[in-house]
Amino acid sequence: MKLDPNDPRLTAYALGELDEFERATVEAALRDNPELRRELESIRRTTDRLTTELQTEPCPELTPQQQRAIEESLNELTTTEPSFSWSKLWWTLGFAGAMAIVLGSLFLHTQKPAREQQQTVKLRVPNETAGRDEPPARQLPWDADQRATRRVAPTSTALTGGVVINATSLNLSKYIGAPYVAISAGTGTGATAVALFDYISGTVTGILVTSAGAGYTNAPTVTLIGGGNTNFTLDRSAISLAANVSGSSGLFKQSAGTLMLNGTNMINLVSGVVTMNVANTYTGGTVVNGGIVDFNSGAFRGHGPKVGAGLLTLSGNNTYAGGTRIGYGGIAIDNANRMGAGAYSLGRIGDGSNPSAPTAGTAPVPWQQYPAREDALRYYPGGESYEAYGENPFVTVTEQPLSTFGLDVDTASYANIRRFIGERQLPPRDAVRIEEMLNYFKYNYAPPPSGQPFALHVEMAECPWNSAHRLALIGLKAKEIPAHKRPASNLVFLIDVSGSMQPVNKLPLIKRAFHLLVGQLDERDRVAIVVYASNARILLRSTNATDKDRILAAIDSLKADGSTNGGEGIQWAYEQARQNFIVGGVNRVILCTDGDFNVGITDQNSLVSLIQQQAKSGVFLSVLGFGMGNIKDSTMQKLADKGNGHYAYIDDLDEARKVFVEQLQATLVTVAKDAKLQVEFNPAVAQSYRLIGYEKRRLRAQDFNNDRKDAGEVGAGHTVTALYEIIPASSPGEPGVDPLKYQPQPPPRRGVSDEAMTVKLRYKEPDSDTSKLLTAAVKDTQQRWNKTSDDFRFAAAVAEFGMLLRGSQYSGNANFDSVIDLARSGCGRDEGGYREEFISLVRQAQRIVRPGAPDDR
Amino acid sequence: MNRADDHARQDWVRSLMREHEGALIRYAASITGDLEQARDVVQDTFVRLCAQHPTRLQGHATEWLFTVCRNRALDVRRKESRMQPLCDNQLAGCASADPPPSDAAEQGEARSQALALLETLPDNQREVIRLKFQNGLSYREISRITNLSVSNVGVLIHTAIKTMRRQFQAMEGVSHET
Repeated sequence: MKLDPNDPRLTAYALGELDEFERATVEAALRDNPELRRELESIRRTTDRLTTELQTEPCPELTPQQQRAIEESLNELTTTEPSFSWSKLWWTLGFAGAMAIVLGSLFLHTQKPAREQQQTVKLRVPNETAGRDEPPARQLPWDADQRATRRVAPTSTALTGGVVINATSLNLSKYIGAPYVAISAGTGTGATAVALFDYISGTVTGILVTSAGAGYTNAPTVTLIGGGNTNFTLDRSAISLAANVSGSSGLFKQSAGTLMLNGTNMINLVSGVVTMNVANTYTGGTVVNGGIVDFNSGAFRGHGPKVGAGLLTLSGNNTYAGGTRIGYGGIAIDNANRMGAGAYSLGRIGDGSNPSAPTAGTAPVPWQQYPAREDALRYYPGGESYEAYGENPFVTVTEQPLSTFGLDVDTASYANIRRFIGERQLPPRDAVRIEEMLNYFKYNYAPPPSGQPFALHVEMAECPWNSAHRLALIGLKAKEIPAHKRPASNLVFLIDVSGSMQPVNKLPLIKRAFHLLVGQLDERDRVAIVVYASNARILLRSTNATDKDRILAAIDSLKADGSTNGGEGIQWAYEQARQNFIVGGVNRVILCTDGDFNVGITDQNSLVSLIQQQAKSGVFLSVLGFGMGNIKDSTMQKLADKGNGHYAYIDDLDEARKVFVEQLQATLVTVAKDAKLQVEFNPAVAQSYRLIGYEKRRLRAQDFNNDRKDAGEVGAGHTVTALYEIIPASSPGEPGVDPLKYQPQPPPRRGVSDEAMTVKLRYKEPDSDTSKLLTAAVKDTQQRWNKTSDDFRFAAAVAEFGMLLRGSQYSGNANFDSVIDLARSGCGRDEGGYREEFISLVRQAQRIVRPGAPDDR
Repeated sequence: MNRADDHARQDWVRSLMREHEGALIRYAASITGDLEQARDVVQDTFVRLCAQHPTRLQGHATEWLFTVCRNRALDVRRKESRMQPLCDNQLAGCASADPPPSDAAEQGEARSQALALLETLPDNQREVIRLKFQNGLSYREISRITNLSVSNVGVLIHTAIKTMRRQFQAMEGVSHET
């Protein structure tokens, strides 16, 4: 695979802008081409430098006068947008709620001494138009010359009523009111439209077709009349008000509402692409002759409205010959006829692994995947978002001898998968993070000798899903801290009490989990509670944990109501933590939420940088996710990551018990931060390798020794497990790389020629900024399968299951039956019954995929 | 719509202002070439924001702000350019009568090389470089803000980076491989 060094995709790759498929293409090209890699490095150096230096350009401020003017607009205007999620809930706020609002606004003022206080004097330009608010006085460069009758082609084609023609590019400005839209000529009748007018800027922003009329075989004349401006005629050739959409210009749906195509033959696509970037509902058929109906990456990410979001339901039969490409997300169908014939693929066109098309059936079949193998179509319930990290490919040792990643002990993915399967659905591919599944379980690695924070356990044996390959397990065990020796804890709970937290598996569950936790604390510890809904308030100032009655009374008093302003609450929580900081103890903010951040700092990046700043003060953050639907999984992960904490998902009381009782030490006490692993493989023993999971924790080789690089946090008693699938040097494997002709090949050092790899671990003590290094060399002793440990076999089973759920192209001979057999053989003592639960989860998944699979094995 | 609702919306607008005010003025100034005009543009932008509703802009607030700001700034520049006819390339290279936004000379700071080199790029490359590296926007967002295709954005950034790379090397007198 060849890539020219001048290909802009190289830069896009360096900036992380490529989708999974393109990324794989570039990485394949990089593997073969050292010159290209050097080019990439050079590009990276430049982009790093640009990022650093360009940020130094200072940011000017608005003048106080200008700030006042904006404040006034803020006070004067009320929006006309109906607020569907807020209106009813607001009226149920009692006195406490009203006080919270007052407190919230007072807080806002005290936070910004630099700004002037709001003035209530309104500066108005005297205006005689009765009943109309004037926009505040400000400078607008009115220019009488601008009022010309310009002919500029609009960017879209009109359709049946309700569709807006985007007029912003036409720059229809200098109006004082909406003009009248006159439609004339053309052969049809009955078409009407209105102009959408923004009175602040004085522009016509769109033209809403209220009725398409009928009988138009050529385009009518559309003229804007009046509105304080001269008449303006839209260019004829671009508008078509026919009952069918035809023509080569694009269809552009401007508003956020639903596009409904009712009726037959709604899209007659002869060539090109119809891209649906938001969820849509079709109740009629769709005919596509040639071309592709492309459900592009935006289609099913669940950013749409809550009802039916993220799901395209094809409830009628559709016929098309061009094939279906699903870049991301999925379709729900209950019958093979709902989807057209021809090839379809799940975002991997042309790699030869495309599943075969469903065949037309007659009887409806229950919702299930096509094709019969485990490569499924998935669908997302409303409001969820998962980042796509892709999948680590095999890399050859000679090209890339170092594998580097941050250690991750988040476990949320497993609990989340459990939730989906419990609802008889397969999880979305990107909700499956194999490292989190592996790390959910407790492994029995030997603990480190005293004085050492970590012990390393490595095991190698045959790979269960590909007998020609080897599987290497790297297990880390952090030192335990006995209960009486655990450090004092200063905990601040930051709890989301917005309306969405009402269901029984959210706020009520948090309350019960809290009871469990408080039972574990004693006179060394302090607890504070900050709650946030539309505003934030301190429910309980930091209190010694012996005062259990007061603490529990506070938590029991919580009710869920209002919208979600997470931003301020976080600030208050950190303040509570800092004011009661325990030197040498555990200082932590624990955020309990369903991830629904609606108001306040809506931008994920600014929330993240806030958390990062606060983490530097020694107060770490953990995130506990509750409930189903509306989970902003990627947001919560990022917050925990930047806050030097971890992210767990709590779906029921058992899980709460696990997090707050069994693993309390691990949840609270960080034994090491910024922990990273780097493995160097020996080309004499291993030809290629693949790291299973940890895609979101990938690091560059040079990041390993860079102490400024943020990486994973490890709690007391935690285990971290990683698996590598290895193609041994002696196996045929992939086509080999030719030995280099010009590069000197130093002979391997004496005595290391039979080592398979060297594992290096870097970590920092919790209050240090310099890292320490541990190293271990590993030989593959060709261990027989019956000598492998329970942990090895069980971990392999978990990884195999994860690959099946992801539809991984590396899954080899993986299948559900072998997962179950493997897991059974690795069950061991199974304290807590979690491994047995895993096995039943796999069986449930198997039944979703193949209804009628035997229940008991 | 009651008062409490308005409060929430006001807080939203204020927090967006806190976050983006400076970056937007900096960006607008790079288009208008004049700091006072840039301030006006950004004021207009925030006034328009007051009429927006948080849920409608959810997740896209930053993109919206930059788009609106850019359109206003271009409007302003177009008007100004009718009074002083300069073509785009000249605008990129010439020193305006007003002091540049960073006002480095008066403050006695050495302007970074990258910032200096940036001014020598053609207008369209300079803009996407600012959006990407100064403001951290993605290719997709930049394409929507500037009305260019995503691949066009990619090509512009790639070309600009190549140019700047060569110039860095020339300035430092070091020759890197290829």
